[in-house]
Amino acid sequence: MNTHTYSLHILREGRHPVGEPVDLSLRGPLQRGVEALHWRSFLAGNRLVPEPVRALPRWSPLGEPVVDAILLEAGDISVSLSANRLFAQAARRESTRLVEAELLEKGVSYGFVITARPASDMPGPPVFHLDDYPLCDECGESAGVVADAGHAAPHDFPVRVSRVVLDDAIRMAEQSGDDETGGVLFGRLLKDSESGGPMLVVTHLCPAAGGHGDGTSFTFTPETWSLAQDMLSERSAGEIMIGSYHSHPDFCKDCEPERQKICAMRRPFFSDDDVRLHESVFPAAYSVGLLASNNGSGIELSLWGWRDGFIARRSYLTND
Amino acid sequence: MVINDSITITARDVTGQRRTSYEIPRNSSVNDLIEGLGDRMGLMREDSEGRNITWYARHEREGRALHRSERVGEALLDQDEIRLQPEISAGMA
Repeated sequence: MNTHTYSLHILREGRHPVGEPVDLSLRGPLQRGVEALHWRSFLAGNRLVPEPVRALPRWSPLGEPVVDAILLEAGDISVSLSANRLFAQAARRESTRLVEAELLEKGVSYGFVITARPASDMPGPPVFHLDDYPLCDECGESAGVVADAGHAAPHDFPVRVSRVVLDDAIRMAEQSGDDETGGVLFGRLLKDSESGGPMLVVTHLCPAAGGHGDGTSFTFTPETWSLAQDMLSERSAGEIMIGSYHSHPDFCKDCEPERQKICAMRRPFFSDDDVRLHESVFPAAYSVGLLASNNGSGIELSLWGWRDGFIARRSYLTND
Repeated sequence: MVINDSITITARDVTGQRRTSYEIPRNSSVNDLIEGLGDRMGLMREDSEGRNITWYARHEREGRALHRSERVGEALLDQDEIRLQPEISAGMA
């Protein structure tokens, strides 16, 4: 049960408010938080968390009504979602709107705070039935070459990406040239023979038929999902849809060489759109996103996944 | 014979891993069905730029996309399954 409404306040330097507070939707945050709770419970060897899930504000050191985080609790399991991280995207959008409305000067640094106030009859977390995580009886080996080891985190579960998938991802990115391309990842959730916990194996990259890309985006259409579902059935390999694949072309290829060296667009990044795609289609905690970024000298692969309610770059295992 | 005024369908997400059972009047439109399920299943309504995300329903038994203007009672049978699918973009935004 959610007991509060939340608002975003954009602040000018010196913490002066700009414009009116903006009401925030808790749909995404609640879904992320509930999923993180389920996954924690699952990793601890339990079934899904018991109902009800409570969502409460955690007050900032600045004091009520400023919120530091949203706490989700179910039974004795809880997860804390940073309010600043949860609503950074909303703050960027609102600041852009304020610049357009000439209430905020372009290029001026700004801050934001999130506040909460008690409310009744608030919508709770989404209602759906999750039988349990689709864990196969089969065991998988989590030994192997670790790619992107610098992005490993202590509580990440192992993910193995088949060499064929990685090769297909590079080939598709190269073939799409200056346009983005995309696909749907198939795989299975196995038991890690070493730890007994879950591990994900990414077995196939299904090109996103019916999708369309240009220089800055790739759109997955209903046809994409239907054809991927048909392909999944046809393969009959016990796989499920476990994530997305898309490419970023060299966004910086026409820039000055000096700028290219420092431009963040040349490094792998999961954009706000990419996060929203995963929030909408792949909210399960085991889901991953494979990104092929053209960094000017070649295609760089990176894997992204959920970590306590937020998308983060993560390490993965390969066959070689 | 008594014909109920409503039917119960099962809706799944894109991946098929999440499902919900949903009762809806036969004379509702598929648009009503998608909107109702959106609230129930917590489907995202906007992309990162605030643009609407459009959701579609795939009729699992017939393997086709349902049109939003179709009547639930004409397009679906009691206990049918649908899958909700968005048109959504990845990219640099």
